[in-house]
Amino acid sequence: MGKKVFVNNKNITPNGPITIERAKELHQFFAERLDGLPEQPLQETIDLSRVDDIDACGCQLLALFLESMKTRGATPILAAAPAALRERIDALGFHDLLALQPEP
Amino acid sequence: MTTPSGENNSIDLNRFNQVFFEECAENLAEMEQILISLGDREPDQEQMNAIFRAAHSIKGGAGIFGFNDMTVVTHVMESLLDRLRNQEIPFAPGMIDLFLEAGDAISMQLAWHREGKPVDQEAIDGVRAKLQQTIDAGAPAPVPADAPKEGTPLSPEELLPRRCRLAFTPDPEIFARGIRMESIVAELTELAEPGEFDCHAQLMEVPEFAELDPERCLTRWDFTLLTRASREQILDVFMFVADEEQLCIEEEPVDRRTKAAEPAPEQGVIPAAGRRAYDNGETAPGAFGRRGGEIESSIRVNVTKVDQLVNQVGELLITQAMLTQIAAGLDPILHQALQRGLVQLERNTRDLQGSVMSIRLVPISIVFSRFPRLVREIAAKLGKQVELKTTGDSTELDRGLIEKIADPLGHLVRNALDHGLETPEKRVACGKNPMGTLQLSASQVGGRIVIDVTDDGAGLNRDRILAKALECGIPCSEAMSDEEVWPLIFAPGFSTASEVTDISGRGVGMDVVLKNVQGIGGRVQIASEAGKGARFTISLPLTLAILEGLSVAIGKEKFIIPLNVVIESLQPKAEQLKSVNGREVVQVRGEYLPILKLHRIFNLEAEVTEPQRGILVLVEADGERGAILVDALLDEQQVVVKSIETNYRQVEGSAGATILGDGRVALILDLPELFAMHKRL
Amino acid sequence: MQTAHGSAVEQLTAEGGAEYLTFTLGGESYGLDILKVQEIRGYDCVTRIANTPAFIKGVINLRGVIVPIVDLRIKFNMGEVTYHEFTVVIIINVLNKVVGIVVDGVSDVVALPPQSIKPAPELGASLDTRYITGLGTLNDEMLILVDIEKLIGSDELQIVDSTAENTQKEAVNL
Repeated sequence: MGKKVFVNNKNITPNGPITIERAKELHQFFAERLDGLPEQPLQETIDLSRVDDIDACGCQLLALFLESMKTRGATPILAAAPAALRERIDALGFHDLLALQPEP
Repeated sequence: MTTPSGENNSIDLNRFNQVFFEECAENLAEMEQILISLGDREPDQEQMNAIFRAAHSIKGGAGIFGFNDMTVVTHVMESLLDRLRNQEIPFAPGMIDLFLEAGDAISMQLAWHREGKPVDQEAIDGVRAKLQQTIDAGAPAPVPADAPKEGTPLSPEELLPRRCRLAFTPDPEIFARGIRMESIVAELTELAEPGEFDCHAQLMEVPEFAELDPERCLTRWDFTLLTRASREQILDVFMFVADEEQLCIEEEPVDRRTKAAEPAPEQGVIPAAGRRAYDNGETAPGAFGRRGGEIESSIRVNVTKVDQLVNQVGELLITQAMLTQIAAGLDPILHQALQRGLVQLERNTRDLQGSVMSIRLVPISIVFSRFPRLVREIAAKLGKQVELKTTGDSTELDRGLIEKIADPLGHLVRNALDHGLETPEKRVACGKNPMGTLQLSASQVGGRIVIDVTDDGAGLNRDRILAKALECGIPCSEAMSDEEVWPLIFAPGFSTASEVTDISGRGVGMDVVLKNVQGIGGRVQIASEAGKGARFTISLPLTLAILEGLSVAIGKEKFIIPLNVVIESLQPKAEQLKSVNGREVVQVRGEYLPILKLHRIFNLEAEVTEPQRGILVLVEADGERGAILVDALLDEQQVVVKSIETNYRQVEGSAGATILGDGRVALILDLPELFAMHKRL
Repeated sequence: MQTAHGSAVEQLTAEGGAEYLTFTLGGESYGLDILKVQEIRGYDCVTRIANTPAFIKGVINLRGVIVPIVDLRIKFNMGEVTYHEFTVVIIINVLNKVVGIVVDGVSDVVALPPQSIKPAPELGASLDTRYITGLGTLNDEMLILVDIEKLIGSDELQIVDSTAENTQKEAVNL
């Protein structure tokens, strides 16, 4: 992976599973997004529509990412989580840490 | 050189899998043991629960570690057990065999994951289908499993669902270890009353994002559930997952008959017991199920670590002996303090050695427990009725020996069933109980472990053995005593079974048994009485690793005579020395003992070749006595037994070697072999 | 020993081919796959083992492990055999066994490119052709490359207990 990727997407859109197997890769992905936050960020949407699986490690990573965004003044919003993903996040007890936007 | 810690820089999943494999094997063994003990009887509630728990633990562990194939059979098995337990399906004797079969299927899957052994998928599917059929055939209209039914005895816990709070602070490696929190959550959900489960994750810290390790667990979980499951059942969910300090259970008993929501006044916070800790019978089947509320104060340690410790203590012993040897040459007055220190060092070393050796000791029940099933199956195959009795199950012996004694013992057991015990008809005709008895007993006699395999069958057939020996060209004669005839069956290629069976096989056997037993410093003796039965006695050294020995000098060489064979030593007077049939003997208290001249047996240059000028060490092994001629006695010492065969072939007349204080190798004498070599001279 | 090590490092950079430890036996130069060599040490403190062929000198204590010592000079009838402070033992590790072999002297570690290795002729060396993988040439000198694994495993040397292995196999088949 090169230096910094072009980051301007208002939506942060992870793709595929968010699991232990990809933890390192996603960590870097999120870290870059964090670096790419504007000076005075407002609402940042994390689009989960393309995430097809998540495990406890992934939930934790996502939660840590959200917390880090908040400390930088951003208001992260988790959006468009598929139903299965919602269930999994709930089951793993991350319903508070990963407050999902209500289904449209 | 590899160090045990050096290899684990990266997180080694395998290491954790290993724990699961071991525990899975133990669960299977426990299950099997219970099933076998049942015969065709219906298991009682406790046994049923134990079987259920074993199956459940395997399923849980398999799910957590991602061995999903292993959950399939266990799941159906668990369902059937559950129905049985709740008396929704009546018990049928055939179920025991079905469960045993299921156990085999799971073992096979385990072997596949563990050692890459092939799996017979058809067999597995077959068992699964049979289990499912049994469920379907026996199931009346499905009753909600949770509802307590009339007439079903319920334990107090089951009567009172209570609210449990469970705080789980996992170790940071839990993700990397491949533990699936999803499985844990799912299992807990199953234990909870419907809809009465809540799971809440919390971050314990939020480090600087760029610097955090994404695989490290920074989350803790709080679970709240209304459950009828026992505390133990709940803890079982975490069996492969959590250590003692990582779990905290808070229970609030709720009396449904009074007010459901109100917590009872007394409530305690009890730290959960460790999940990887078992009592010291850790490898014994059944030990796993004995957990209960006992305080567990033991740890599970890899055998290689123990062996390493044993080796290191061995080296320490050698160093200590070397220091003592050097100090012996110093002026005792000038070096009084040093000498005192060395005496202390010697004592400490011995103590340490004793403690370390005791770690390696395990009960023989590990081996004995394999036989009930074997006996049951073979007896059924042969149409014989056999009762297996075991005594001395708790006799402890070296772990290394345990592994090596299992095969020879198994062979003797098969042999007794196949050739020794008669069919019920024959037994009745002889006026015996149609049910034959096979007894396995173990005990410690002095420095040795003695294991007997006794049957009350027909005994060895002297005439057939002699005839067969003749046929095989083994030297023998009618004039031989029984004691001389029996060992003929140990000759290679010998077999008296009139037909070759798939149980005892063809001829390969008793010679291998003998060789294997001898390979670990053991002996086999046979006693037999026609029509009454036979007894095979295996005697083994207590441990392979350390030996009390007498070091002796012959010329420039030093040898170790195991102390347990030494009776005494003496300087013979001329009138004690006689010659019988051209062989030199020494007369001791009216007994004539052959003189074994080691320098002749071993072709050495000795200083002393005439007995009256040297020292005779009187020894007795396997009922045979003799006097070994040596130049001088050097020392009585504990020696660490090293295998010569690791890098070289077996050396006749020696039972291994050791390293002396001066760093040289000395051979340890094997007396029975020496007697044999002496006779050939 | 020192020289052997020093040049080993130099030669490590040589391109391609396998590396051989060269040693002398009765005036002939031999080469041994360096990967099979564990260490080189002096001849010392050998404990005799009774009733073994003369070329089995006995066993030594190699840091707590019992290791047999074979004198190849005796085995292959290579003149006068003496033991002194310069007698060299090559400790080799093959077939899961650690064995020491006594030779006249250890010379060097060399890298031989595969093309410089020729098949062994039917006769010539004191060593049976069965135990020779090929002949190498080094500075116009012939190097006999020993198949040490085959040699150590051979019935001739009687180091590996073939009967014991057979019994073990039988035991497994039971």
